[in-house]
Amino acid sequence: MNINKLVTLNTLLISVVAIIAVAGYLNIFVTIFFTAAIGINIGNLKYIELYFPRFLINLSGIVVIAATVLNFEISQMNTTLINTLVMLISLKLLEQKKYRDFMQITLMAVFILAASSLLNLSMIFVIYILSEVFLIILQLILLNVMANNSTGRITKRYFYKLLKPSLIILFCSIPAAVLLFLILPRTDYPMLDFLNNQQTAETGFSDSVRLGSIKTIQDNDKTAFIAEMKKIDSNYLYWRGAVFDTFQNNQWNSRHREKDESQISSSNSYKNNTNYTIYLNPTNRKIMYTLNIPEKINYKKQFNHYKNRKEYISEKTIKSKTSYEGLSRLNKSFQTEPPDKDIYLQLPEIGKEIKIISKKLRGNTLSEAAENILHYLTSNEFEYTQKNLPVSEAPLKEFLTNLKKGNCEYFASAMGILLRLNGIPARLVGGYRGGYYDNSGYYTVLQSNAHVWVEAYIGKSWHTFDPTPADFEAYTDKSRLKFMKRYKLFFDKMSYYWNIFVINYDFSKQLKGLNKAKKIFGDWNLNISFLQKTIIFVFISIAFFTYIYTFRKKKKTVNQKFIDYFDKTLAEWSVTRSPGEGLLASAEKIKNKQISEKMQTIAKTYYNKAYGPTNISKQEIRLLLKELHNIRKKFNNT
Amino acid sequence: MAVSGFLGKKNIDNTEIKINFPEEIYANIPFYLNISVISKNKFLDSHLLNIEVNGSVSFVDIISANQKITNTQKILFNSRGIHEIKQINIFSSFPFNFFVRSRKVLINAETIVFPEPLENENFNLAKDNEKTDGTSNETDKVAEELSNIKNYEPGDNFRHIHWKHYARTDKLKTKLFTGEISPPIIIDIRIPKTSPETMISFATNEIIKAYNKNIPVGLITNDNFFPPSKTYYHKLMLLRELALYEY
Repeated sequence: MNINKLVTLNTLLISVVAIIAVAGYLNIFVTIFFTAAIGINIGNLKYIELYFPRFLINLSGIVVIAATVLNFEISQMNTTLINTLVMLISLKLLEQKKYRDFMQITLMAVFILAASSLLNLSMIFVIYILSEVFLIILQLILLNVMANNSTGRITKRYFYKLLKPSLIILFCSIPAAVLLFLILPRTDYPMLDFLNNQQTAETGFSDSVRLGSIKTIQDNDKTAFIAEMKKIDSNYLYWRGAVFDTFQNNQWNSRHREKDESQISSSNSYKNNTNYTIYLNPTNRKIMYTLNIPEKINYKKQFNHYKNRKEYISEKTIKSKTSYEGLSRLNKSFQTEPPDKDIYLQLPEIGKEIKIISKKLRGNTLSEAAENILHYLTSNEFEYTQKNLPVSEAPLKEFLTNLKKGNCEYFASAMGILLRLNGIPARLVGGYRGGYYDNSGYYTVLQSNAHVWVEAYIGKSWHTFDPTPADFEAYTDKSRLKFMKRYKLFFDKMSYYWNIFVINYDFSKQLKGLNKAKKIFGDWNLNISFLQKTIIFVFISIAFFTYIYTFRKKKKTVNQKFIDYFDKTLAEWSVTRSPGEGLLASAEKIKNKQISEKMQTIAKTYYNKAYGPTNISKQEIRLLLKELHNIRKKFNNT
Repeated sequence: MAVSGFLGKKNIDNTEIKINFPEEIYANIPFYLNISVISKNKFLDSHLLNIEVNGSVSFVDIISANQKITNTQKILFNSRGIHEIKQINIFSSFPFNFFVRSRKVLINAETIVFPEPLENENFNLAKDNEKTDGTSNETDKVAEELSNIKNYEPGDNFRHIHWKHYARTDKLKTKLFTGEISPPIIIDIRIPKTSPETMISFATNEIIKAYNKNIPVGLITNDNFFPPSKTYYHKLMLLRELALYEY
């Protein structure tokens, strides 16, 4: 295998993985240019030899950077930078690459992947990063081999052997990275948020809902949010979002939110309280969703709570994954102060036909009227559909008198208007209905669960009415989902854990973990007696010294043993043998002549035997050692 | 980084080094040292090792776990006498080319370096058969007069085996010829023709030449007298005496 080609191939893989991660953000021209660069490189591996001169590449690089600077916009910063990096990588790929060029491309790929994490930190990022890290480790090792290898070729077997350390580094880095993730200090302030000013599509509910517009929400295949909670009766699975108070020009609006008292309610203890945590996907809107009927939420950023409307509105647009805890009461009604009749009885101009219907449904009491309206709309006369919705100039009239088919906002609007015509204050609530429960303990709520229902003020409280005759089992039963959606739920499960363990991990959780560890450790310490501590201490000391001893006592060859012992004996007559000096020469340095001669003879015998035709035997060494020992004994006696 | 550092350490740790000197090493003549590197790692291979001995470096690309590899390395000692190789340095930039890790291996190996052989025409004692080389000599010798027959010993020239005798008796005998027994040489290095060190070098050259030409050679020094002999062991003994000779 040609090592240069191997490195080139790996470089291409590294670039491709990085670019796939940001593919959605690339300019069409950049994509084409990059594809062409990859194509030329693949050609260069086997068929052609096409490299562009370095000065041309450098010049183009300067042009690209100049273009970036000229087109720089703070709101598009991240995408611009990514496009620039991809252009530079493509240019770099076009030249004849040396060690440092490979390094530069690898580094740029790392930058691109890092930038992609700012745009979208989803579960799939783990897959990108793992494959990229593996390829980069392999790349660094291959480059190292390339730098050391003078032949430029390696065998296949050798290549496979290089995979082993690459995998070891990869799998050892994972726990190391997790550990760093857990313990590294972090700020509460999202420092890199400014890079993420990118406009993405808005999803979910806004402050207005036009007849027929819910369908656009429902057509979206994505997950709206995940709610971590215990399983509840599916009749109560209404996720409250926006409250609409005014109907005008076939559109419901939230006009009078500001007239409501905005305050944070204290926690009241009701029966049927349910705690839950919502992991909300970015909506680019301010509306927060809660389980009907919300009592309070706990959100670390600023938000407004409209007490009489039970609306929670974030102070800032929700641009990244967000989570908050909520407390809700599972009920179909809640008490408030009497609503402003000017607002909740407001009506647009309405045709005679609808007024006739409303008169027909009048009851003796307000609640009877409400029941009549509900029965009327849920009767067999009306049909729930998501196709061919009435879209004339007066769609509501069309719905009630002619077509009698529609989806939730037609039913809810009709009920709202009919209630108001009967003098009952009414409003629409937009949110989600149902959710798919996973046994790990959470509901997945999809955008297709979007729903609108009605609230009517009767007596002293708002009552929930859902006039839509849809089959709501379909919104809670996983088995009735299409295959693709079920497949999506699996990934939602993955991303649920990703959110919990990665996105949502912050300083407070870090502290909690630390305290927990401290507690465990502290308790453990208290539970052992002094005796046990001593035993542990002694055990550890023994283990330590055994380790040191075995490490120091490495096996010596017999020759080394002899030379070392010889040196020791010399040392007793205060002679040290300098490195490289022969035994004979140092033996002569001994001032005591008798000893000196004896040592010399020993050295000579040793040399004769050690460098003679046969190897010196252990027996002979032992004899020599004995003689040395005798000399030392003599010294000690005198 | 930490993981790569750990791997880099493991890469050069647990390697054992053994060196093996050739039997004859002469001063100022490079020789090839056999260096065996043994990996004691149970699982990890050792990659990209540079082994430095006395300033010269050799490269090993991989030693698989629990394997041994033998490399030769060109080394030069520039004086006669006893020389030591106290340590060998192993260094490697594995896994990434960011840092170089090194390890000293203490080996304490000693060897005797024989004096540098020097050619001197005036000092040419082993002059006979100068014109031809050893191989052509052998053919000449066959033509010479048969002087004796001895029992075959392993190592005797096949051409000198007495095949006729073998055919008759099934016993191997070797023929000896008159030309083979050259007059012995005795080198006396006490006679100071030049400086003692050069004298020792000349003597070394003569001993090697004499041995190669199968001429018995002896040596007289200040302390010792070595009677002439032709054996390899004798040659080594003379050279060792010269290597350690002090004047």
